[in-house]
Amino acid sequence: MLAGANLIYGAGMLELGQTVSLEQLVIDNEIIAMCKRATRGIPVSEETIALDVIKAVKQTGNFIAQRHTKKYMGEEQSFPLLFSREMRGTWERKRGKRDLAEVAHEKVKEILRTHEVPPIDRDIREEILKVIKSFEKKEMH
Amino acid sequence: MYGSSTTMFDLRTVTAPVGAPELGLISAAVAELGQYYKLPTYVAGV
Repeated sequence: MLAGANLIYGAGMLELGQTVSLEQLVIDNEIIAMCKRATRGIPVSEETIALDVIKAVKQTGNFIAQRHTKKYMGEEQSFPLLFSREMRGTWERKRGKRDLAEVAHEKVKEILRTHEVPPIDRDIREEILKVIKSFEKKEMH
Repeated sequence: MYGSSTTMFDLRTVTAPVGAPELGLISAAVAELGQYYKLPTYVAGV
């Protein structure tokens, strides 16, 4: 990713691609999101450095209560959809001890039940059909 | 010896997950600081 490859394939693949798993696909999607977050980096500006906030808080105060923290938390912090960040006790009580495979399976079922493939724009569709027709014409001669 | 084992703090779960991408970002910055100081440097992670 850091070297600049435009496409890294393999999402959802098991056994060198002899098997494709939808559950593995949503897990890989989660890992890819983490990689993308890490490679996106952090915007560094006077505003995000927040030197005045650090000065105000110093060593004894707390950053969590700062408006600056709240403002940037939502847009800057990573947030996994499937991976559990709870400690074991919370995971057992609140997540029903569900492991990643189970969580991924639920996600797959939800996507298959609710996802609608967005239709291709009419003009793009017509353009594609034109290309196919012109190719078929050439093939016939 | 220079270094730091630092990650983000997830306020939704009230945990400090070491599997978060932020750990890599912070560790990269720590490593660069270590190089700047010309000190052997450790960071957390795998």
